[in-house]
Amino acid sequence: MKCELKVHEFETYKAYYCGLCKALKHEYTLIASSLVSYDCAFLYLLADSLGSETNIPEPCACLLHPLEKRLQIVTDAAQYPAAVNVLLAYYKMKDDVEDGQKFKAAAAPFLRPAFKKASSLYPETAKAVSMMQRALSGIQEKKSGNVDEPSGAFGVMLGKIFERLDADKWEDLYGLGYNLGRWLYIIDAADDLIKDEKSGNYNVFLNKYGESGSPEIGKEAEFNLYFSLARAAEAYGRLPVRKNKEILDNIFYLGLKQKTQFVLKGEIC
Amino acid sequence: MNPYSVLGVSENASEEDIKRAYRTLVKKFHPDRYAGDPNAAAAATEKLKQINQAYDMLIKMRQTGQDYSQTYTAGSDIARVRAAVARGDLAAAEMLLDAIRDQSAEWHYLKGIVLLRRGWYEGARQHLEAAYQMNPGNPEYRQAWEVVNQTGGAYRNFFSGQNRALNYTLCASCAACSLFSCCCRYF
Repeated sequence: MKCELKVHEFETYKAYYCGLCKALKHEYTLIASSLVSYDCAFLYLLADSLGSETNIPEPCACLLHPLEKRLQIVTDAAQYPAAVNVLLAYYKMKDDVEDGQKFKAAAAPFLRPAFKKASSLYPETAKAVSMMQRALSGIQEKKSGNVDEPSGAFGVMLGKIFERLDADKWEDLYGLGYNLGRWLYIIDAADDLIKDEKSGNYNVFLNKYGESGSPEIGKEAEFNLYFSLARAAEAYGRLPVRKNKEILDNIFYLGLKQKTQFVLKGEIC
Repeated sequence: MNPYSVLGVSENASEEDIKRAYRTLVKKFHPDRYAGDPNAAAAATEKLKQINQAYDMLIKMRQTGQDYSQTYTAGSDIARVRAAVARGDLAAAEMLLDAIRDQSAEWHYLKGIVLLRRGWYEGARQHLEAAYQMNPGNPEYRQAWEVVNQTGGAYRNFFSGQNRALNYTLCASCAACSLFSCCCRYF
């Protein structure tokens, strides 16, 4: 995503990232730097861009980057993305532990209280995340080779996360989240083909086509990735973006497209 | 059951208001949103039933039964699927489709449209391709097939070079087509 952003735009993106990190520290007393996800930073960037409050990036004193001059944007719009970040991180941890990475359980004592707080603040979102997790493990168990099933389940979750950003625009936000979620699921599946083939992990394309070398995989992935992005971009175009329009335009019309091209060509972005 | 409170509209709501409220509600209670939680899914199905009853009652009251019987209850199974898609109840349309044995070109076309609006694009592509191949002379099938194939490409070309104005949408390219005109909505 960052490849297509201009330097000052990427600085702004990072300032949202650091603002989110700050919110996680403040709201959940998490030493969060290892938990902050770029996806949730994006959610924060979008959430703040739909609001009309002006914000001024302030210097960020970060223990991890003591020599770098970094900026952070701290607004109330960070509350919800921070909670989403906690919810996703918690389920990711549970998932990793179940997949045999037992050492990941070390984070549980820190994450569990944060998870409880985030769930009580946003019970519907917590439910959406846990429902998606359950739906995905069912799909995985029956070894589905239908790309619509897992990517759709992931899309519904992200749709439900996004739709809360603005009650008046919930349909477009849902559409944006749904299609972005579909894209994310499929781009990861396409990116992990060879890894999953070696490890024997579930991969929807391997279940359908048997081996990572099948040329059909590229075709199916290409259609679904670009179609999902087209729908996401359409929904984005209908949103009342009040700031950061250039950054968001670049992400939706260039960055995601470029990432797709790279993954389809098997290169690393 | 008070149909007005089920749909959340006032007693002097226009037919358009009722339709809009109905479309929003069937989207909110689509089963896909409750996958992974059987209790919530069952509650949503029950709710959908109520919403449909309420909608039927109010539309019947407003249209004095005439148009209603033509577009909804009468006709073949396939006609009922079309009516369900047109009013936005994709869950009902899909249930009707799954109960039909004869998979004609029209069946594939409607299945493709339902999947498209549900956000299941791979399945949509397969069924719309099947409909087009079974009956390439049908303009509706051809148009659907073209839109499915061109949308990704339109996105890829958009915003590259000088063309930085947003001038493509799926909706614009399919406005002529009766069922397609609302395909931009998500269930």
